[in-house]
Amino acid sequence: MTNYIQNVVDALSLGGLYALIALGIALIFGLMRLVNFAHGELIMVGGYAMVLLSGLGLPLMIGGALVVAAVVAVTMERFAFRPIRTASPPTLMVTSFAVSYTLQNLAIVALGAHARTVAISGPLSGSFDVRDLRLSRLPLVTIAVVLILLGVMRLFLTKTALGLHMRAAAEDFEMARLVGVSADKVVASAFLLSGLLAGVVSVLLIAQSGTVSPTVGVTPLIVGVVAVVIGGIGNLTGAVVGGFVLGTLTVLLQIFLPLDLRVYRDAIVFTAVILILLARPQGILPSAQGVRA
Amino acid sequence: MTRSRAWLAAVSWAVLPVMLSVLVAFVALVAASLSATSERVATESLINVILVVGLYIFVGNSGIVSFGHVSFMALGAYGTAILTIPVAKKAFLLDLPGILESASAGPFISALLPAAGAGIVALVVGVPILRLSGLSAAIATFSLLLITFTIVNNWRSVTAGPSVLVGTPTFTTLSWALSWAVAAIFAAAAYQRSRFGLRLRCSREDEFAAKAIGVRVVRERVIAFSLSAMVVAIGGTVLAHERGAFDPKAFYLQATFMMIVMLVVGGLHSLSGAVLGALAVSGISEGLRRMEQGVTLWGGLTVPAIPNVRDLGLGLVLLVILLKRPGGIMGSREVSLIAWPGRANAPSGGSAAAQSAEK
Repeated sequence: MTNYIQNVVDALSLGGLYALIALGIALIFGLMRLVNFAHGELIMVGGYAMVLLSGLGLPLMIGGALVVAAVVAVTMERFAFRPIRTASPPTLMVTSFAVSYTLQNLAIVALGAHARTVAISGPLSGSFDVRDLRLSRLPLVTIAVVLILLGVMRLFLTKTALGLHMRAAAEDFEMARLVGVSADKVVASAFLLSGLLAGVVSVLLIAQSGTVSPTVGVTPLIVGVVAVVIGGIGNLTGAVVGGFVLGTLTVLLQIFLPLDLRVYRDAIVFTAVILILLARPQGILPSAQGVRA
Repeated sequence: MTRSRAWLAAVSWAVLPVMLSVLVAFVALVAASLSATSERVATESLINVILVVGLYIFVGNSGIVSFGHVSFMALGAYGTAILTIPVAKKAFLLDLPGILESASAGPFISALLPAAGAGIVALVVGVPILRLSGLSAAIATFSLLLITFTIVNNWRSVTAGPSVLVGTPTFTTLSWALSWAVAAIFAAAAYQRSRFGLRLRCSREDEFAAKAIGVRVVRERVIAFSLSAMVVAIGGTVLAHERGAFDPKAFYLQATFMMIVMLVVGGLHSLSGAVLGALAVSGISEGLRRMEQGVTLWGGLTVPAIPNVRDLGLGLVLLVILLKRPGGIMGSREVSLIAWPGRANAPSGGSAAAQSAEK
């Protein structure tokens, strides 16, 4: 029984984390048809912000991670993606790949290739007991944060003017501009949100692993992109669903795979991804186009 | 048509690969003669040409960016290692089934057999995957890369797992690499002028229109994918015999990035672009690598040694090219000397009829 609850918590927490990553990627994709491969590096940058601010207290570290990730995201948009906004999807994809590679190596050159440790203490770590269950805090905090953020995003997209503009632009960019939506503002805002989401992910991720390295964003990126695709391209809810599906699948495999096959867990997950894509190329929750709240 | 005209028309497809081969040979020989170590650099550049031309056969003609081709490179490298590592060493390093354990092959077989294997794997994997288009296809190929890496990294008995696999005989010379590069270029040129290549290019330009005129898109993609996999696998075998020792990390994200940089810098839709991109980026990469160790410029200025500046530099180079010339150096054009009167030169992407000579 205790195991069961722990497993469910783990699945939800990992799924939630993946959902946040997927959401950050899907926001941009819905708008510009651009898969931001550099999203992983936003997480990395948030992580290094915490490294550099460590010792100044948790609130400052978290704030720093969010701010730095958001700033880098907006800068990325301004200098790397805005000039090629109208280019073909393969070009956009390769450009974001290039940004990702450049940022990783910039981190290596500037900060060294080795992993740095960050000690996060306080409300995020440790565990507590409920009856005869020992629950660790972090997964529960993760789940709570994910649910709150998803709710906030939904409110933002449905109730605010900027959110409405974003949805309009995602559905039909040209038309939206014709009726007065500012393309620059909408795209920059999307990147800002994406950066903030990446910042949150970096805090939760590093609270769990305790280390930051230049390649810390690679795995989350892969997971995020895959989650977006299997969840339904161009569909925010789909991205979230994809994230939860992927997280749950990973945890289930981790639990039920026999010990000697466990190293192949990732290979099996990605085979499952290919199978899902073949069965439903449009994703689990397809949408015609655009951002759906 | 006169007989000589007919003959010319029949062999006209060979003009491009001949020119490219001459260029490649020239650059390689000049580069190799520059210094003692540069022969190795030249050989690696030629291997890059093989790999990028192989990637181009699929990506350039189909328009689908494949992140998974490095898997075939790995197949080629590990395949040839299993076939050529001396039997005694093999028994010690790996734990293979009997037939493979005692196998020992010469240079040609050890290049062609893994290539055939890669072609078959590409066929099997391609048929389901290549029904997808655009982003889904790219993700599927990326998944292929990850699956292959995970398997290779963990299958200790066949690949020595994450450890470096040593013992592959290092018989790759400049001429060996050059021969295969020329063969790859000819294969790519022949393919892109063939009806298979032309049909695939149709589907690249407009998938639905191509289907409407009867092009079986998935079939053409799979053919290109297989051919492309075979060429890339051969590149992997040549690389294995040049390095002598390698580990799974050599066939993962960095290699994928390098191949894509070379193709994009040269021009995604052009064979000449693939070749030029491979040579250019290899050259820039080597130049940056020397800078990594610190360089004294004329006038006494010393640039201090900055490790890892090579990869950073390559990333920046790629970014600049993408922002300024997204089509790459060659765009969709091919290198050619002669304008055949009244005839479009090598097929290209958007611009159709009036192609003129490029020098």
